[in-house]
Amino acid sequence: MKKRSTVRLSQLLFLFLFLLLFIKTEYRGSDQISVAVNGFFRCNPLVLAGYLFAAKQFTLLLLPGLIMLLFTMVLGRFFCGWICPLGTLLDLLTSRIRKTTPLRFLQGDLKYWLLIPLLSAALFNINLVGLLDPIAILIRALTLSLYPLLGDTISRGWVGLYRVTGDNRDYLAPAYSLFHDHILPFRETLYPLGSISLLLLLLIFFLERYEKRNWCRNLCPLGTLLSLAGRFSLFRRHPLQLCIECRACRETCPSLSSHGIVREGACMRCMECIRNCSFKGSGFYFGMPKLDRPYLPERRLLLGGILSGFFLARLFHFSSPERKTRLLRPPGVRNEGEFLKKCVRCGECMKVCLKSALYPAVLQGGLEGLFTPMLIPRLGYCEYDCTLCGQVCPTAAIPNLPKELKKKEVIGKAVFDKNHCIPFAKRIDCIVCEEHCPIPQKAIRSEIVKAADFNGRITEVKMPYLVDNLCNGCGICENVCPLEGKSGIEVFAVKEKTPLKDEAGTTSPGEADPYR
Amino acid sequence: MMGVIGGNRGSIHKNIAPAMADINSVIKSHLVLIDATRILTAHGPQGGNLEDVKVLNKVIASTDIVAADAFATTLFGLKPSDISTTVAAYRKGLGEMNLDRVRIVRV
Repeated sequence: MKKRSTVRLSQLLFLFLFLLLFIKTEYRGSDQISVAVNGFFRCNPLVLAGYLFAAKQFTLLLLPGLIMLLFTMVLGRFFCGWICPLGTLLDLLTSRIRKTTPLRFLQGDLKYWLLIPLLSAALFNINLVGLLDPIAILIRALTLSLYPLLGDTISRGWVGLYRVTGDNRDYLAPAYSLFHDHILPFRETLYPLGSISLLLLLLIFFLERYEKRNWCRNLCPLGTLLSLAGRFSLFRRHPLQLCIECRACRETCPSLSSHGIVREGACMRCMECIRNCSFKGSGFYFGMPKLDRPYLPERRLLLGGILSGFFLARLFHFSSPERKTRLLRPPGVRNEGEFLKKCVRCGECMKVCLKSALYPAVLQGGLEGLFTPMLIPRLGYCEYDCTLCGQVCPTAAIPNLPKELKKKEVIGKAVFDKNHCIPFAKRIDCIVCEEHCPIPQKAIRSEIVKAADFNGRITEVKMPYLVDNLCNGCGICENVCPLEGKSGIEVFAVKEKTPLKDEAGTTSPGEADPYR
Repeated sequence: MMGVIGGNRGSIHKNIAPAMADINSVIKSHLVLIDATRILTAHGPQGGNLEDVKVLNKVIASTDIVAADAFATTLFGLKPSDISTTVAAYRKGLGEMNLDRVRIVRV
């Protein structure tokens, strides 16, 4: 076995860092999450480009992405060869996968047909960059599918182990708490779109059958963007052609063109050619780039890409209004349009959500909302004192708000369904939702009403009602409603999301506090 | 009592008074402790407001669950007969709600 190269060492280090940060992006008993895997998005030029084009503004959060872009201009597409965790996984796998002939249709300009429409659609306000960003694909597959699976397997396995070990189980218990406190997901949640996220990742692995780093060299929009930026890098391989005597690079290079020419932009600076060179003929040198070569992409491609981006944006923008009635966004998101321009669909907010309230939208927000987070109150509610989703969001699509401000952010408004709600439908006292309402002055209250029960007797029933200007739509009422399946109170999306007023101003004259 | 109910716990909340009495007639408590160091007087049980909290520094201990509840009611300035669960439990014969007939030892 050959000595491990510096490049591989760097790759493994970043993969380890990635996994470590991934595990750290989880509620572990503290109100603050100090480090999260969001760093991988903040230094991601594709995320930066999508954000700049769609939101048409800059944020300091993405400054590392800009720095990465500048480094790429000097050093070339080194991110793919040295850092990208997906690339590292492919490198580790690829030697175990037997190769058939490369797929012809993947080669050529397909990668530009992915990147340019993606960026152009962002320019027309539909930011779909997160759908195909390699880091987002990897994190989604982990968060929505593999990580819950790991948690489930280990906890179930442990129960089995306890059964087998009998009275000796106490010796095993500390190991489980170690697992649970540091590695396993805090809550066991299953997500919609989990299998699709995993399939997308597996498809990328499957493509390795045809060519080394097939995804990276022929499809990846981040890689394509980096190779465009690194086209005129000062750090260049020599020679540009394969040497006539040897041609060993043909086997090892992950970015060689089919003509045997080292394409400057595509080169991932993995240094494999130097490591395997028997004549010491190849190397990397600092030098001025030659500017006389034709510039890619061609005009036709550029125009076609921008045009199809425009149509893509139109196509993805459609969504049926009635689906959106229950599209509840995480706390602090006030404007749906602005949110969609910034969200990278990485799923970190869903991962940290303390009460398993956030799930990826399937089609509730239309095609453009695919994989974006939404609150499903029947499955989980927004914890009044929690601000974790805002803390981990890489682009501040969910703003990072202090606790006191977050409590006042409106997610939606609760509405009673009197045909289902127990006191209305059955004339029986309930007050479960009222008891759980976390708002200090209670957004759900009840009035004692004299009503005839269904035997004709007059009884007193506590009929709940909602104080609209106190409700922040956290969804705990819908979550705890004792009815089966459908809740008697439901949170609906609202456009008007002005935060709740301070406590002094919340009780308007008509809403006198009945508890004092 | 919360800990002994599995499944959809909220569902016993409708018509809570007879439901609580029923549970207590099946699962008997031997010693009842009520922590009244701080009591929430309004807007509870979740959420609430610090302004509604009164500090009493009291702990109630009793072998009679109804008597303990009845006494605790007085801390809020209410009568035991105001609380439907206490009345239902008394009627079911689970304990004494009439505080005149209860020996109260203050420590």
